[in-house]
Amino acid sequence: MGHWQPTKRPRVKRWRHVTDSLGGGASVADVLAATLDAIGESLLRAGTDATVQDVASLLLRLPAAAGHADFAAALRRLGLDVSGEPGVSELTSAFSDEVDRVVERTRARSDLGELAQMAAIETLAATVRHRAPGEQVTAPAVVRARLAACSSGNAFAGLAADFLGRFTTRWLSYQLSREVSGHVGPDKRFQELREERKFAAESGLRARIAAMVVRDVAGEWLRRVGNAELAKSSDVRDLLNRSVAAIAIELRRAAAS
Amino acid sequence: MTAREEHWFLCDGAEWRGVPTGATQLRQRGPGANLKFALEKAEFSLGGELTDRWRDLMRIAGFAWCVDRMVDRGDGSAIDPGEAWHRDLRLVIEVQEPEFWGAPETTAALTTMLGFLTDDDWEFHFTRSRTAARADWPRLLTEMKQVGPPRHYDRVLLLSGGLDSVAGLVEATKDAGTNVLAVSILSSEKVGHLQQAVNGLLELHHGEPRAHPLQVRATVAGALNARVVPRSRAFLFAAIGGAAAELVGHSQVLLHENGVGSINLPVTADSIGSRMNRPVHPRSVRRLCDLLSLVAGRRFSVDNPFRFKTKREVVETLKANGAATLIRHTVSCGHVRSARREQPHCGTCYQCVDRRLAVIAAGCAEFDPEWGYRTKITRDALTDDVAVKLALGYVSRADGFLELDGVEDFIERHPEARRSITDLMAISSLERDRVDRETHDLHVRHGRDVDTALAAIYAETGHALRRGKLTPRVLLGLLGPERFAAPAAVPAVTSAGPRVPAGMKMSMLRMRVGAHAVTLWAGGPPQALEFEALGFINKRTAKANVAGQLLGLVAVRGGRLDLTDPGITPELRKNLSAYVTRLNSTLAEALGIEGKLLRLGKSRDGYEAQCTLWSDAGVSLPVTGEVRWEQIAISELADGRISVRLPSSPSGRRDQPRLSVDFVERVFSPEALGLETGGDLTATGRDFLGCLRASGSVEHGKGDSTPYLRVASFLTEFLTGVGGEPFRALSAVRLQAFFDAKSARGPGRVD
Repeated sequence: MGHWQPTKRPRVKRWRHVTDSLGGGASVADVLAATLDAIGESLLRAGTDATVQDVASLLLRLPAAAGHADFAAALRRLGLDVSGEPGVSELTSAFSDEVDRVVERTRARSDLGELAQMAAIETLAATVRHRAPGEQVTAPAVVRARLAACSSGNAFAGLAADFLGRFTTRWLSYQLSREVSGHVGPDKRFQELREERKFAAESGLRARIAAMVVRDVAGEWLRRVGNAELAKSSDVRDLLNRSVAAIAIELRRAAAS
Repeated sequence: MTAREEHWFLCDGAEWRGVPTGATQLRQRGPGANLKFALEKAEFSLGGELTDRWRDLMRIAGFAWCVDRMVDRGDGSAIDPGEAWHRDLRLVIEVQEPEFWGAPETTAALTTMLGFLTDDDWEFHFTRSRTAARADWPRLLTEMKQVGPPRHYDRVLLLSGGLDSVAGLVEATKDAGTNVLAVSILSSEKVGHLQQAVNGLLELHHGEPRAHPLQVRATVAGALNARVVPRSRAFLFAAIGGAAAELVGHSQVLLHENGVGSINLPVTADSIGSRMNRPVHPRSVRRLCDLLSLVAGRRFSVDNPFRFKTKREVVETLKANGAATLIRHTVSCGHVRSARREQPHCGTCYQCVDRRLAVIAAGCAEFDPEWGYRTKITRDALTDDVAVKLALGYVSRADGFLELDGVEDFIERHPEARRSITDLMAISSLERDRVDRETHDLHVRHGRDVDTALAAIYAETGHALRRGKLTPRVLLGLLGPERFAAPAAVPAVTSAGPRVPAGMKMSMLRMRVGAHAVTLWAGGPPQALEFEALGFINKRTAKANVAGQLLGLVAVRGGRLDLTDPGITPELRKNLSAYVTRLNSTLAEALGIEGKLLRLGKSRDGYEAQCTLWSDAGVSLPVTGEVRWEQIAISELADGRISVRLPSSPSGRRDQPRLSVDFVERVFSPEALGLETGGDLTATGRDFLGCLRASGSVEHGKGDSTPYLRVASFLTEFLTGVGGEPFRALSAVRLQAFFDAKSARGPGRVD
């Protein structure tokens, strides 16, 4: 029953450059730049996508929640259904379930929102995971401490950059997966799967590097709003708009250099 | 972001004042009829009568299914395909109980369930039906004539006709005297006959009717969109199954889907949300439970007993129940519309790839004839970009599962799986830790299954691929030779599964005996693929179904078969004899060895070991003396090479002869292998035996001996597999590397 529905190549003229650059053996940086030239407007829409905003808002409020005396209660106030102080599994499940509830409520289903939701869970898990030697899972106290450490300064900016880097990586993979399989096989750019994976890995790495620029944007943003818990939706929209624009510029700059 | 268009539908003349102009009228009857939707069953007696709520439920499910098939989702080529994929669907429907359906709790249960299944936003407006309570639509179940006293059913299950649901049916009917109501939706004639065949064969298998089919025809015609693959079918299926269960006094419906398929994590970066279908996703199941419970007015459950099984394990369930022969009568393909009766599987869709690899990994390839696939994933070129995308994505995903470093790594790398955890806890009553671990382990095992299957395919076709006899656009070619050059690392599963013996590297041994494929996990109990000796019969006799008949008989007879068995037809006996004759006549052909490097003949130069090479089927399917597979002799020729021959008169020995270490040492000597360079390969040969023993993959006999088959298989891999050039092409270095990959011990040590 696992039916699968793929997307197709975007029907825009500029996509031809992506096809040509991939097929012609252009560098990863050039392919990413061509992708942005062709359909970069889709990435820039992230700032105005209601679900992306909700996801970002929820994620960026978690560090402050971890600083409250009653962490579980603070999470419940944000809508996360946790039984007590959560571990990695409960925290990420509760986060995912809450985003799904919000989407059902706002009726704002979108692919960008889905990409953001998955990127946020990835970010959350990566941030709070820290198993002690010999332990199977991260202790709830460690989860809380690691999250709380992200509530201010560089750590908060790092969290935002990590999230937007992962989001951009997912967006690029999502878009390029519409093209890449046509370039795998004998006499094509990717002779075999391993080469395609290498390309995808480098693409992701470049996106993450480009997203480092978000650290500055997010740091300045936090200083301005003071407390992420108090940020209004317009603040979050502003952060997203500026961040994805900065990432796009960085990716293009990498290609130019 | 622009607001999405709302699609409004007025069902069968229903009216509601909030409907905008331009709403679509859906009419089944009378003037302006534009939709033909029918749920019919010609003749079946369940007795009883449905309540209005159940009838309303089926009506709602039917219209939802129709609307789901009508509204376009785009062709996926927009800059943001999601804008067309997600739809806003508004339905106005007449029901008998608008108060119940309009209640917030019911509406929420309905819309969130459908919303998750389809990734759309659904809105319903219910008005009171203007016809009598027992309206003529839907006619399902209520028109059935009472043809006898109501039967007692032990279970009610949904039977799609796919491999998993048939395995579930077999499992549910394994106890004598069991009566199971198997509810099917017949939306295509192409699969209807197969569903009927499954029930018939199952009755034959059990010797009594235990599965009682209720096949409901659900057809829709009208303004449908051909490119839309509906996501709401599970709702229709559950509604009909629930209604049937209600009629026979049950509060549970079983459905069967392997755990990986039910959670259905994305195979590619763009297959997000409901692009990966969610009919049996834990959240879908839970929400269907909630809705059916509201309709029934009591706790009503929908349960998937296979939630923590891989597809390979589901296939093994069939095998364990002696019903592997049913596999060929199941249809898994997602492209039913283009199916051909004789070739129901396209071979390249998700379901086909998943099924084929699982069947191979389970060692049941013989039961799933490859001619049933229009594209054979093992040897045909993947010419279509979509097929390449799916196949590579599928393998990449499986490979990713093998790289996982525990539960938390799974959480980080596969965040989509988070959606299933809370719901799995609710429907399985298991604690979070257990659900997390089971879900993680499930996917790791799936990764292993895929790797096992690919290794088996490589064992079968790698030689031809290397020699350019297969196009490099086959799946294995696209995966690249490096994948198979070095043994794949196999991580241990955290909760269960094989452990690597101390001192042994985790690696996979791949063996090849011509068309006979054997795969062993060196790190644990042997996972032998079915020896494909019976597949040989097909090739030799050009009788496509002989092997299937034979294996079916073996399965039905509980794993033992005698040539005097009344089930063996004269034709089958003749074919078997022909097979043995042909096998005896041409060893090169029998072992699939090409070239002239192995000599046949009666030379008895040097020492000679007489043996009987039992097929691996002989291990799992013991046969009596009358059936003799291959009987060969391996001897060392005067020029230092090995000769393999078939004796003119079979020995008829039933036990597996054992091979002395001394012989192995000599076989592995550089002289015997014709190596140009030296090296202490005798010790390496010894180490090989130790490696096999430590892996638990051989039986211990008296003294230093091992079943001949293993050594013969292994030898054949050397002769045919490594580099494609037997004997002299083998360098000592490569041989040493081959062994080093299989054992961490130093040469010369034997336990």
